[in-house]
Amino acid sequence: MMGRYDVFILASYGIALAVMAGLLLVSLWRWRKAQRRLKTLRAPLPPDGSAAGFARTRRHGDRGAEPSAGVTPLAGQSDMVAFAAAYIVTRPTNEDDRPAQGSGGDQNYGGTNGSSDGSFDGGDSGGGDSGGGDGGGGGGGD
Amino acid sequence: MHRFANPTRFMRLSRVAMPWVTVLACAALLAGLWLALGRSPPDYQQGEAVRIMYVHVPSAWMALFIYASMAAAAAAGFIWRHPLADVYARAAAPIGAGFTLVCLATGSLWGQPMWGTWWAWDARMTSVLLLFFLYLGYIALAEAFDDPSRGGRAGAILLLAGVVNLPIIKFSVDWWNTLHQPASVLRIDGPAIHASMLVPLLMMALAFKAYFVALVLLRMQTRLAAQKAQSLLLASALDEEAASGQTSVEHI
Repeated sequence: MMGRYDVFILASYGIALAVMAGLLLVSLWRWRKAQRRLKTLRAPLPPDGSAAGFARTRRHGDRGAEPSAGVTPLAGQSDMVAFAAAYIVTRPTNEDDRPAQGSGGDQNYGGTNGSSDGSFDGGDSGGGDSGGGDGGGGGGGD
Repeated sequence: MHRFANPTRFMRLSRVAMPWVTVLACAALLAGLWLALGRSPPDYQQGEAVRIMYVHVPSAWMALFIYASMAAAAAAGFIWRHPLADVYARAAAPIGAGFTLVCLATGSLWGQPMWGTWWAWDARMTSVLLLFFLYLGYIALAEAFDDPSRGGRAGAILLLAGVVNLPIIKFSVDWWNTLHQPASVLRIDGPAIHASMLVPLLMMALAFKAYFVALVLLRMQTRLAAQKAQSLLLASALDEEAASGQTSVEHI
C-alpha cells in the first residue's frame, strides 16, 4: 500500500534516474557516432578516391557551380564540413584562374571583348567595355 | 594539471580510468539506493519524505561542483591556453544542467508535502534557478558561433561572471531569512544529521560524483574524436589536392 509521501519519493527518484539515464544514453550515442565517423575517415582510400567523403568537385577553370556541388558527405558528416573541404580543394588562387580579360584592358579583369589593335574597334578606345577596365590605348582605327 | 594538457595522453588515461569509474558509479548507486530507500529510518518530523533528500542534496552539490570546475577550466583556458579546458567545460555543462534540474525538481517535490507549496521565490531556490539558466546560457552561447574557439571564449567569460552566484547559493540561507533550511552537512562544527542518514547521503553523493566523472570522460572523448575527424577530413582534402596536381591550395 502506498504511503502518504510515496508518490513524491517515487517521482523524485524517477526524475533523477531518468535524467541521469537520458544523459548517459545521449552521450553514448554521440560517442558511438563520433567513433564510427573517425573509423570511416581513417580507412584507406580506394584508388579512385570515391569513398573519401568529398569526391572531387571542380577542376581548374570550372566555375559557375556551387563549391559543394558534387560533394557526397559521409554518413553523419554535416554539409558544412563537406562544403569546407570542397571549398579548400577548389578555391581558385592562381593568376590563371582569374576571369578572362580583354586583351586591350591590361589593368582590370572585367574586359570581355577589348581589342587594341584597332582592327575592329575603330576609335572607341578599344579597352574592355563591360567589366570596368579602361583598356589600353585602343589604336587609331582606320 | 599540465601533464594532462596533451589530448593524446588524456585519451590514454581516460580509457584506463573510465571502466573503473563506471563500476564505482554503478556499485555506489546500487548501494546508495538500497541504503536510502530500504535502510535509512524515517525522520521524526518529515517522515518518509526525508528520502527525497538523498537525491536532492547530492544533486545540489553536484550542480555547484560542476559549475565551479567549469569556471576553473575557463580560467585555465584563459591563463594557460589549456587545450582541454574548453573541451571539459562543453562536456560538463549538460551534466551540470541535468543535476541542477534534478535539484530543482526534487526540491519542489519535497516542498509540496513539507511546506505546502511547489515553489517559493526564496533566496536559495531563486539563486539555484539562476544557476540553471547560467548553464543553459553557457551551452547556447558556446554553440552560437561558427568558430568554436570564439564560442569557447565567449562561454568562458559567462562562466567566470557567473561564479559570483556560487557563494550566494551557498550562504543565502545564512545571509537572509529564507524558507529553505540552513546547511546540515557542510558545516564548520560538523554534520548535524545522524549517521544513519549521513551514510546513505554520502553514498549517493559518491555515486553521483563517479557518474559525473565517467560521463564527462566519455563526452570529452567524443568531442576530441569529433575534432580529430574534422582535422582528418581537411588533411584528406589536402592530400587529394596534392595528388591531383590540377588545382592549387593557398589557404587552409
